[in-house]
Amino acid sequence: MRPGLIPDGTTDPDPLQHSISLRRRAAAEKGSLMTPAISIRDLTVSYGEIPVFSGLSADIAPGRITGLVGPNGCGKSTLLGAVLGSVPARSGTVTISHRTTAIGYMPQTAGVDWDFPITVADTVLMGTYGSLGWFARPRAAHRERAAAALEEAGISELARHPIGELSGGQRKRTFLARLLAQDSDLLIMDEPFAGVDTRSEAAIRSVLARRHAAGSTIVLVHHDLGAVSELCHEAIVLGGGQAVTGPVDEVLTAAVIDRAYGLGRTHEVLQ
Amino acid sequence: MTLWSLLTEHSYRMVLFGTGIIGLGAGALGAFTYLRRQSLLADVVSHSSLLGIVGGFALAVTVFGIDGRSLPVLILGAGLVGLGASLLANAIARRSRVGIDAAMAIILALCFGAGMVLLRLIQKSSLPGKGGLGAYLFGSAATITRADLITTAIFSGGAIIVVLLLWKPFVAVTFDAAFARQLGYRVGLVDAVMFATMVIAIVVGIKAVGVILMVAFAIAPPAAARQWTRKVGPMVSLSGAFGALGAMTGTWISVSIGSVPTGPVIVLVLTALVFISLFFAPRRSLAARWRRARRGRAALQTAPAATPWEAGRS
Repeated sequence: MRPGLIPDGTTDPDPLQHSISLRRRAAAEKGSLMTPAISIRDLTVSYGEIPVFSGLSADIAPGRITGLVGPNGCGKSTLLGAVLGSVPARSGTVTISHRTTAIGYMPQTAGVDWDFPITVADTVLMGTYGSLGWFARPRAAHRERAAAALEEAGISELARHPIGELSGGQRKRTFLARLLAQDSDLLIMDEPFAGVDTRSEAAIRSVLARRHAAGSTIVLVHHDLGAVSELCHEAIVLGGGQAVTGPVDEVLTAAVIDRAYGLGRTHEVLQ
Repeated sequence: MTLWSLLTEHSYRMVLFGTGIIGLGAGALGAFTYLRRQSLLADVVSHSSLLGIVGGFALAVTVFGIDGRSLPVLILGAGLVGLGASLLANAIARRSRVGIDAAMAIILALCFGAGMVLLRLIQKSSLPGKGGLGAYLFGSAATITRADLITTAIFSGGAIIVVLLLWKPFVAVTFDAAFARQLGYRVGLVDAVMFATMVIAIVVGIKAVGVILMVAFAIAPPAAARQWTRKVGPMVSLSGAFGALGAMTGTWISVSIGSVPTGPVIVLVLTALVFISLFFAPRRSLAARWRRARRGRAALQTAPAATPWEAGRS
């Protein structure tokens, strides 16, 4: 059986699998009447004269895990940047509704100087800065929040290490813990599973399951289409300047994938 | 020259504390440009400031009719041009395909060249007080007055207070600007304030050290301090301490020998500090790397027949 397709009624030992099958049913009942957590309308982003995508529209449903997939260079990180506000849009809108806190953000690890003199604990503590503003110093409550985030990401024992000593998976989990310390219910993760070992992947998956159960809205970029159909409820397939959105079962089809990736045989990946 | 006479003689005391304060400010602020991997920015600021100094001098004398060589006029002119140059270099790198290193070199050469042209024009003119302007190329620490010392202390102290107040945004933006934006910090504003404080810390030293060598005050202390520390706070503190100690030691040596210029001697002392740190600091130094390599080789030789996984168990 393909992982992720659990027949209704079975009790699955994996909490993520279980919650996903529950969510799928809940979503089917509620339909698309909910206000989207993030609403992207006619978005055009270009670098210089070259458009990355134009007139792109997509909705991200609240309380669900949405996978953003597409070939290299299709604009996944650019789209995330436009949602986060770090990439200016030429036209169109990104609306983030019922947002109580700042967006929890886990960037790719490649963009950071890993020789920076900072410990894992202080990196994670940085996640609490959003609630501290420009001048206030972190207090005991913030340190406890950071410690809890380290615990949840399974890297408490690394707290006092400089980040330069970490492995690839530990770096991912440090950024995961920092995102958790932000205490946001809207989480955006850029390739959280890229280059991680089984242990780190399991840690990140269990965090996803817990955050989802707590009602967070999660958007993640992932290159493994099989894993996206298993982990996520919704998918945005980006390619050729267009986006196809919907529940993973409807969107991650051979026809859509082939068109986005410009290939003829991609459907084998899904089987 | 004993340390005692250095401390009791008024003019020596001015030079000693003047260069010490300059070293403290430039060292502490230079740590941030070092961590941003934009150390050359300090050179952009100091070289470009020549244009600001001579331009400010010309404006002060012709338009406002005041002494164009007073330290506040110098700081204002050099600061504005230095800040403009550093922001312009960053803007070029962001908006074009020219890398930040090339952009910084272009702006540096442009402003320094323009400054040299303007300097020569002023030297040939009949403006009053033009005589000492050429001294800003290499600086002259011996001319630090009590008023200069107070001005330097106010500006450098102000820059350090800004760093302490804005510590969190400074560290967050330096480490990970994309994430800092999600924390709610306005990255462009934090950058501008960070550049402004760094520019102030550099231009206050130009009268004493000169536009050409001032860059060493902002690069050498953080490069040395990085070797000894693993957290930002200790690194910035140690960098400031290295800057102050290096400057005061260099001043002492230069005054003791008598006929050597202070600024260049300080630069030699700071460079020696960098080399000592590169070779002997624990963990990060070349000596530590050699020690680890030798231990690794010894471990391999004692268990020649063991497979790697067995060797790991013993």
